[in-house]
Amino acid sequence: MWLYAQIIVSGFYLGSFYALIALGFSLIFGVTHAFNLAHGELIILSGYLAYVLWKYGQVSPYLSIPVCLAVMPGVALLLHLLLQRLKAPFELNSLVVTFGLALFLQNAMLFAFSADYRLIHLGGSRIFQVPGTPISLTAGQLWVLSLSLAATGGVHWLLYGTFLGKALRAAIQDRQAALLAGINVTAMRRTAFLFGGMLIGLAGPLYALSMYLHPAAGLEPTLIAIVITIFAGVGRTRGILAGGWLLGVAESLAAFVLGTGWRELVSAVVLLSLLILKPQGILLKG
Amino acid sequence: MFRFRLSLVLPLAAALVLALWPLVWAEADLYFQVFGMACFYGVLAVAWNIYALSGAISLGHAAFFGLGAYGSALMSCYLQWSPAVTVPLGAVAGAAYGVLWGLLFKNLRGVYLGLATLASVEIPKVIIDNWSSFTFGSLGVVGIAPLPDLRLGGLELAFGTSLKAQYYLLLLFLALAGLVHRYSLVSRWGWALRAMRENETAAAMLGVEVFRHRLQALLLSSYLTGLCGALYAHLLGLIEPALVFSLHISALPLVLSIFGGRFLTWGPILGALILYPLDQLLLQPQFPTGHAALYGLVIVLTILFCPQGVAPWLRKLRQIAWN
Amino acid sequence: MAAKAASNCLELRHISKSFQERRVLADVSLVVREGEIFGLIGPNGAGKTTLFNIITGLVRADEGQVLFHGQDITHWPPPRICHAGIARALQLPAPFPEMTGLENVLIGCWFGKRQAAAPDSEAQARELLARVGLQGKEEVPAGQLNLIDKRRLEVARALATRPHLLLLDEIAAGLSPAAVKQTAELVTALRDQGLTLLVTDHYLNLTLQVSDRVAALDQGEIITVGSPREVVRHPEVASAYLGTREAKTLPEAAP
Repeated sequence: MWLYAQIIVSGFYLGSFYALIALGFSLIFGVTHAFNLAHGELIILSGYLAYVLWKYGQVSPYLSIPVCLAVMPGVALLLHLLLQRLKAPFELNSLVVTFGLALFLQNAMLFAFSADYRLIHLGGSRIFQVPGTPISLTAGQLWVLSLSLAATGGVHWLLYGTFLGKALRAAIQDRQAALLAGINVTAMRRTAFLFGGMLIGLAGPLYALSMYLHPAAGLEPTLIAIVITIFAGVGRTRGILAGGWLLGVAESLAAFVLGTGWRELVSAVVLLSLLILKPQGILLKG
Repeated sequence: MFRFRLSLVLPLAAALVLALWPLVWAEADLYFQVFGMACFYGVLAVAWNIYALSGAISLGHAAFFGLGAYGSALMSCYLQWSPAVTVPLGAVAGAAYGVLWGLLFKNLRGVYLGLATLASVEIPKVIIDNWSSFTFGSLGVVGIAPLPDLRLGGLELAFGTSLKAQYYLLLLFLALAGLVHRYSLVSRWGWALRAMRENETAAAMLGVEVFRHRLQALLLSSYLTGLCGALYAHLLGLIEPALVFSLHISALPLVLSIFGGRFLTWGPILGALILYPLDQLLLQPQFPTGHAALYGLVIVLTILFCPQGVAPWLRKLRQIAWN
Repeated sequence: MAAKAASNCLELRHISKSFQERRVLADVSLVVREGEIFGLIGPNGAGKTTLFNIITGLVRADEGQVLFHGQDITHWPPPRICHAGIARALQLPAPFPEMTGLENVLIGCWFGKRQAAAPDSEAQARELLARVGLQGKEEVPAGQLNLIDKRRLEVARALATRPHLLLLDEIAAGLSPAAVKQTAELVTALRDQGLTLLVTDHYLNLTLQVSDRVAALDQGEIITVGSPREVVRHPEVASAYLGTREAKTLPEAAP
């Protein structure tokens, strides 16, 4: 019984992190319609940045988060400059170009960091127990969980509590109408890449804390981001959080019932089912 | 009349050069290997492009490649059949998955199809990774039988050991694939693919059987890709899921086709003959790991700056030279 | 077909269609007779295009049946409907943009009918292009043609499939008076060759002038069917269609 409770709790922890992974993708896709298949690679890149700072600069992973938060929006804006030059059909071309970019980044990271698996170890990591139960989380997991939830809350506040968020949501829902309402859609696109880059920047160090970094590891977070975005619809923070939790719990259960090796299958199968069963264009409804 | 002939003469001349240079330069194992593999990836590019001609950009052809490789390798391993039998049979695994795509992804187009193809690579990969008792899991299959030797009268072709023989085999494979590609462009069937690529609704209303033709293109494409995978297993002697189901394998034919020019008979082949040797002969010695970044970079640059690829440039150059 | 000359070419039985909550077609029944020009009139949004989409298999009807020469073709896919002998020129032209005008028409020649196309399909295609007024533009990529020429290409391409029944959607919209006259002549000539035509247009004069019979559609329902003269005098037609605009300015009102 407690075992299943532990699985559910792990699932929620994992799912909260997945929601963070999906938020950046969803924001960028929602406002700009750019399908960024290099999303996962950018997260891994940010993770390597934190890893290098920790390993060679003895910077605590929590202190490297601000660095990643500062660097990755710059990278995202570069991506924005690149994608701006694309011709129609924009969505398909962005998909193919970022596919190329993903391949490029994978190999560049392979060159820079070799094919070894890397992880940021927290020395003597403490284990926290939920009072009165045998359910536990490590300190690292607790950090990942709380920072993911905080970021999701922050994005929710940004989108639903501020004037900028209102403009962003308008740009997500109907670009034409937003233009007519005097919203600077070009600036909104830049803003989306900026915030998307920050979310990617945050996700990197957290990834390095909780999962193994590997140059080819980016495909999985990309698939996760796409699954959750399709499931929830763009720019819906609550839906994204719910989607992340569902996926996290499903993966934890699959890992427990079938074995850890099968966990990776979950997001691919869910994505395929959503694509096949959900009518097309569902993504574009805000 | 004359220009038409020229368009025939140039590829023929190129084919002759490709066929004859090993006779002049007999001891060049590195070049046999590199250009042999360039031919191999040319076939892979052609296979991918046949499906793309119907208007479908696939990001998951590694699924067919990996299934073909495992199909042939496992058959050869468990049944001890000759690769001459297991290669064409093993490739059927790829084609079967292709048919599954065709049926399940019937209503997906553009980006959504791209995502579905990308995700569908994971399924055979994870299954093979985890089904250790049958597939040897993530350790992969090792010691796969090499290609058998062939005796033609007095001529002995040691496909298993001689890189030169392998080169000729792959060159022949490429020539055949080139003919199939040409058929997919210029035949009545090719026109059907073109019509549905340019406007699917209009094509359907003019009587083009969109579903059937696309399924045929996918079947051909996936079987050819499966054949490549199967050959790869026996050429290399070992395969593992992370290798044959990699993003790299899905991306390579896309890069080569787009770079060479998707709508010209020799486009994808040209892409392979330019990019692969460039990668292996110039970049690989400099950057033993990560040299494949070239392909990613080429995708980005091609889509941005010459979406038609380089073949139209060459065509233009030829016209300028001719006039 | 000669024995069927007076019989039904196309029959629609109780067709209904809704998109989300909006009802676009409500219980539409119609009979188009062999060899006639049947005009379908109705204001924008009356459901004309949806009806055409249902007949050609692009959209699935919620209820009802489509019969062609007595055969139920309701759920057939578009290519099969084309092979059966129904062709359509779209309101918004959808040419194959990279192909030349000639190649566009050849696609129709080659795939329109199941049996192998005639060996002289190229000559046939050229003849069709000339017939719709596109001579001299055979080699122009279709994407570069202007809107009117694209419309003409639509008609030529549809004719290339050798249909029994031709659907023409908004055939005269945006055409000059001279071009409208040509279109009227073409439509009549096609009928005289034995084709059955179902035409819609905003340009009431053309539809009323060439049609043998006319149906008026409003808000997804058939108001009345009859000769052009009867239909135009029908009080509900006047209020639904003509009432919105002044009859006098109507010929110029085409978009």
